[in-house]
Amino acid sequence: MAEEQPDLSCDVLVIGGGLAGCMAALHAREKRASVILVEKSAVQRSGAAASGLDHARGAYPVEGCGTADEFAEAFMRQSGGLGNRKLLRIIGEEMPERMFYLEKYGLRIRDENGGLLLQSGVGTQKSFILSFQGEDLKKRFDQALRENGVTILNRTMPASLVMEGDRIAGVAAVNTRTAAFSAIRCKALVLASGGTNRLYQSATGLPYNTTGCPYNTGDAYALGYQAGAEMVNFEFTQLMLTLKNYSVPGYAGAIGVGARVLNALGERIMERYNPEMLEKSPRHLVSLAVHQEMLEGRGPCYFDFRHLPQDKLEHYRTGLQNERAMILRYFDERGMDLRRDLVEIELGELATQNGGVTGLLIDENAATSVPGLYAAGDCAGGVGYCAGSNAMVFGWRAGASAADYASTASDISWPVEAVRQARDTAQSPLGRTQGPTGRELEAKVQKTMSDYVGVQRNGAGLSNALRRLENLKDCLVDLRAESPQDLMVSLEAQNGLLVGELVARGAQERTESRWTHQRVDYPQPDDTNWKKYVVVTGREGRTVVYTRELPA
Amino acid sequence: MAPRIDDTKCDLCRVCVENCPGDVFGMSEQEDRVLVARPVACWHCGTCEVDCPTGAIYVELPIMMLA
Repeated sequence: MAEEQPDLSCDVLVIGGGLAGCMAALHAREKRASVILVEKSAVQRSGAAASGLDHARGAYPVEGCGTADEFAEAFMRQSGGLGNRKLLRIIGEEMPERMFYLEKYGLRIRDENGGLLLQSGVGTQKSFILSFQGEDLKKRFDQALRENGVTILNRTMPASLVMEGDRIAGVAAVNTRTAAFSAIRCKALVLASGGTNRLYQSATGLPYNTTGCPYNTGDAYALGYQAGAEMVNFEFTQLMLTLKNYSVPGYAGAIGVGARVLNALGERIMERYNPEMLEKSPRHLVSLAVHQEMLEGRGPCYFDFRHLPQDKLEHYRTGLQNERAMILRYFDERGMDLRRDLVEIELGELATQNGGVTGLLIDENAATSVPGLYAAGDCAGGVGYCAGSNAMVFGWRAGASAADYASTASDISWPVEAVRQARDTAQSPLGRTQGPTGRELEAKVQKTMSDYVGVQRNGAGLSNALRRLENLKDCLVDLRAESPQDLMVSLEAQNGLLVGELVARGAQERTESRWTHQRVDYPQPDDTNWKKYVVVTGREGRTVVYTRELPA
Repeated sequence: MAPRIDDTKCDLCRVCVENCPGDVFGMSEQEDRVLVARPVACWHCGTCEVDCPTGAIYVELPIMMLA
């Protein structure tokens, strides 16, 4: 019978071909493990770094750059008190090596004199930002994977883990273009499939108009849940200011060049919310301020660049363009001129705080709480906010850890019946002619999240959300897909339903307000009871919630 | 909205079909045209326009996304 043998086998299976997944695969190969990498899109243009990177944070050995300790301190401050200083320090310390590694594959990171190009710091702050031309970074990774003998399965999405008892035997996956099923056996598994977007209603109603990569739909969390891995910080959703109607993170570059935030009355809003620090206040406070101004009828809100020198305006436009290639089209198609016009902003759609905050709890080896399961990049949590560098450093570490584990792991018998069930479950939506589609499920999850688990939360609303999300589970057995791509969307919607539940459960559990989690019924922070993680995971298909101490 | 393909410039190299992170592109039944098969899944990331070797693709922002 078809299920009696796996379709493919390897030592190390990597889910996700973004920055973290590629680094993991490459390091595992260096350790002589056989490696398969599963990617929902195509490695050369997938993930949050689809259009490449032009900057990378680290503690580089160059004049003007801070030390690894200073790096850790700087990113602890951006992590709402929930960062892991030890892990952040590792990121700072090891990023230079990761960049030198990429140099071997043709990435240009030096000027004509051979020096590293460091972006200047803001004010008296040290810079940690290496500048480089990295538009084709993902293509270089793709080339590196092929040269090093990684088996790449593009257009392949994980559907579930294949478990033998409580051990991970492999992953069941479907091809997103043919719906073909494959069961891949592995000895060690690295989850690197990014964070969660498309979880809330987008500001424009266009579901793929999101600040983060819309194709990252919490797939790693669903697998982690199935394995019972500890996951944290789901209640700390992102609060990101974006340009009006165009969901690109607009904040960092704007404040960095000195923009001001105004409301519709021309007032500089931060004078009301934080007159000492103004726009240099912690970011979530600026986001909450804009949100409050809108609620009280003083929107629209704007970035004001008009007072800035020309070189700052150019710097802002260039920075935006590197973030999203099409952004200048947004300005130019309406003839917007930063010298003359205010730039309207809004609070972008909420999401999990991708970038090392929300996700699978890892240690310095990128190990999760489940033996043989590793995580890196945006799907790993409890590290601290440091996207990109986090992915590259812990992806690299995950690859070695997984290879080491695989080299000594005892054999697991292949669970034929479990594979058969996984195949049926994964492909069954294609056989139905009635029932809701993945797109319908996704829309209902988004509405529920936006209605009850938004910026300001309370116990009754959160209970409401959890009740609705629980009821939606009844429709899972009826989900219908009319094409292989629809099948992918139905899997994504199921993952979104789960992540939505984890966000609502975390928010319900944490009876205080802290950082980006705001409870109207508990408006103050409560360090005594809540300066800790809220952990969520699955045990036999049910969600469990408990707390864990923060790292020292 | 989403990518527009100029068929007079397209040489059917299929780089867009291979690369698109949203799997937006498909082929016509006779495989003689590249189609924008799933425009709703477009992120407007622009990588198709950047990667197209003949400049046949222009990413048009939908009116909802304009300033």
